[in-house]
Amino acid sequence: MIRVQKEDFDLTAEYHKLIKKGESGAIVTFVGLVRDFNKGRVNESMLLQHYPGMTEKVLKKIEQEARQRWRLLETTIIHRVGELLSGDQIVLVGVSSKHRSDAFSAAQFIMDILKSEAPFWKKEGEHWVEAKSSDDKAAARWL
Amino acid sequence: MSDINSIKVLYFASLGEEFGIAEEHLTIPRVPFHVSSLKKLLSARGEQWKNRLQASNILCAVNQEVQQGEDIQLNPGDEIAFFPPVTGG
Repeated sequence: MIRVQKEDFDLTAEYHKLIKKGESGAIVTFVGLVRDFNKGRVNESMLLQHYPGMTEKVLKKIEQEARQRWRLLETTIIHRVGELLSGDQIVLVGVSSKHRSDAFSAAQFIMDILKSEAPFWKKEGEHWVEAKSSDDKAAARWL
Repeated sequence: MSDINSIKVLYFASLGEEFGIAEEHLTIPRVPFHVSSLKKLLSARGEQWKNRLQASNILCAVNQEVQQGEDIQLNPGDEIAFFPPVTGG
């Protein structure tokens, strides 16, 4: 399940949606949060821009690829856009599977590829965030 | 805005902000027209356009698929997007 939205999400509700009763033996969830990016200027907001249409397509492709690589029961990717403040939730990746190793690996894979391929851009205050080479390296290890 | 020979061009993040435009429709000639032709056309608008579009890290998507080269041919109705490396998550 893919969602790109302005609204916040409820981790507990999403967790329950990942459970296939009797089948799920492992659930891994990852939540990314907005950190303080500018010391001294409290509550400066972050803007998250995306490419409507393409962003959803890329996320679906990442989800499908994860499902091909590991034995998964349910997958959830939620990414927020618009204006966010320090401490706000940005992204949720949730995976359920029979066994833990599939869920751990798939969740990490989805986040790593999302960070290097999904068209989202962060602007902190007046400054567009530069891409990090460490994020490309994290994605490259799955190739 | 759009006519039968036009393409849609989108600029995201710092590109859209620096160019002062997020989206436009352009009429393309009735001769083979590629991503490289489009970049050349846009680069003629000034140094800022030229410098940003020729930068090696700028990505180009045609119909929402990222392109590796610039030799893909563009057709009327196509959607082309230029953007810097992504920074989500």
